[in-house]
Amino acid sequence: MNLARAAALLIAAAIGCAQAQPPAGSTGPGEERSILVMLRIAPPHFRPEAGYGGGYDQQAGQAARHRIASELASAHGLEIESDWPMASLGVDCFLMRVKGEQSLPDALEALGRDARTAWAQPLNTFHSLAHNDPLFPLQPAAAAWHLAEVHAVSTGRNVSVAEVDSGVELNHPDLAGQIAVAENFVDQSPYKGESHGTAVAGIIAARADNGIGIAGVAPEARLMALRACWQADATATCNSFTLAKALQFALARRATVINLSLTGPQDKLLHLLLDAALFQGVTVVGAVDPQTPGGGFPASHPGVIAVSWESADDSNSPSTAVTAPGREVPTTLPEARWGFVDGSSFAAAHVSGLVALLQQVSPSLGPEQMRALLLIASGTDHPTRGIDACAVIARAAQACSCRCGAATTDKTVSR
Amino acid sequence: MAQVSGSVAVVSDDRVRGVSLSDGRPAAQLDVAYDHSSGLYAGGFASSVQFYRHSPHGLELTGYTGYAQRLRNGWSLDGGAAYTSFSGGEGYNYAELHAGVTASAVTARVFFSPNYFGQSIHTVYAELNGSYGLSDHFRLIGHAGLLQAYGGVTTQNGGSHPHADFLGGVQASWRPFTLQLSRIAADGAKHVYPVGADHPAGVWTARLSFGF
Repeated sequence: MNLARAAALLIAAAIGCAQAQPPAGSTGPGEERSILVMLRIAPPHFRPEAGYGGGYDQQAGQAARHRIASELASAHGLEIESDWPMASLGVDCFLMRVKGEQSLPDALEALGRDARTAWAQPLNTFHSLAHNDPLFPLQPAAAAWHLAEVHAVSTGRNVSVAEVDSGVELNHPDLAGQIAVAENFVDQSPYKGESHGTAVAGIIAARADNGIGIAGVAPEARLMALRACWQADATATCNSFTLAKALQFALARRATVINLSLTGPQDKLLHLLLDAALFQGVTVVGAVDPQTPGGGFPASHPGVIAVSWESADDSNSPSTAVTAPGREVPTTLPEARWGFVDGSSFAAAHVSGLVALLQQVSPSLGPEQMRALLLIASGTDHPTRGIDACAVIARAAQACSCRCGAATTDKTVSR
Repeated sequence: MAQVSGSVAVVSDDRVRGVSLSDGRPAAQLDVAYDHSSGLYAGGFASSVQFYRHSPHGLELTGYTGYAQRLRNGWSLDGGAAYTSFSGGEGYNYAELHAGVTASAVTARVFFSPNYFGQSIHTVYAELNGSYGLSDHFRLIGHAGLLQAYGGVTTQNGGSHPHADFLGGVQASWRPFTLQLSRIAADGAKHVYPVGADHPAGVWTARLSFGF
């Protein structure tokens, strides 16, 4: 991925950005450019003054600290917004805004090296768990992907996600209203809710803030529950025909994202259908099979976003695979239940949800750009690349006010 | 790294421990302090003085140094020494040691001088200062002090009983300015000081300072 191409992607993403919307809970525009600078408050001591003994001598010290803070602001391209003495710590805390194009990490580093400061740090954001879904705190994506903050910017509204899998329990309370289309492509059995398909559906699009269960990664996406697999036990089984029918259906119904949490041998029919999908601008997400060199098919198909889960042995992962939460993920299960699941199937589901979120803020992103964005946002240590979902949304939503961008500058610089 | 701070002020009456060193008249003052991050501090203070109605205007200069430390519970301790000199002769120069503790807005400090105002007496002065924030800009301030002279005491030095002084007032600050209005009461400790005798024990004073 060269710099010119990355730049082109980011520009394209910025142009495709949806309208700017302040995220819920933010206290004002421009706060993402704010930092805190701490100045030492000298401990009070004897000062000769007329009459009054000067026990409360903060006045003299305060003027001096403000003078020093102004000097610091001038020297470092900052603007003082407010201050508050933290008497218990012996520091005066100045809220300053970084002006111009200077990056926050650069400003913080320079301030940390300036002997006049006690320390400088980012203005971090904290939030209560913004979803009332009781299992939300247990969702790995809640912390790892700052999901609540991400949802303030995007929920994947109206993005069509086709789930090619076993059956989804259509009347599961946490999925009510989330499924736009349900179709059965397995001739031997009628449509029914099955564990794998229901679990994947919940991860992608479970209703958020309904007071029950979990919150899906893209809680306002429109799910196409395409039953191309059947389950006799815990494993879902599918074949070229059922899968091909489901893929063809998804293409015809103009799905934006196709989730394939399954693996199998190279297949010419499916290979060509995937190419057609990618050509049509559909983003395809596949789960990596840790036991097959190259990650298995369709994960290894060129253009498909291959996803593995953190605990996986990734010696077989394709070099361009990304990692997403897939361990002890709480999700929806048949018979109106919830439970924990593990595996790259469910990591892939996370990424499909994330693609839907990106699609909402940047509708013009195609599969290649989507893949590139996720790879940029992944860690650089091959082969495990955990996606920084917050960062990737912030990048795609460049023109939007997004708190996630500030969350990435999380280093406190001190001396 | 050190912080330098200070102020210039005009005061309607240079009252020190209840006693006017400016003959009840206005005085100008300057103080500068240097605080090092290690806790060491040093500073200087200058004030115009006039001991008697017809004495020439003089200059009081105080140089001081010490060490202050903030404790984990937020309290601070400090201790040090100061030397005060007066222009026009060394007759009134004196040294004084101080030690104090500050807890949020209350300070207790004790001073010892072997030659208070150049006299062959030892003095111990203990004071309690406090303030109470009324709002962002207003504070109530209060002070009580007790001066005890001993060693080389004669009736001329005011006897051997302690002398108290009190201050109560209001401080208004709009950075960098501070205006302080206080009522000061003293019980005649002026006998210990080489100043004129005609000063009422209860007096209002005002002080306007500019901090930097």
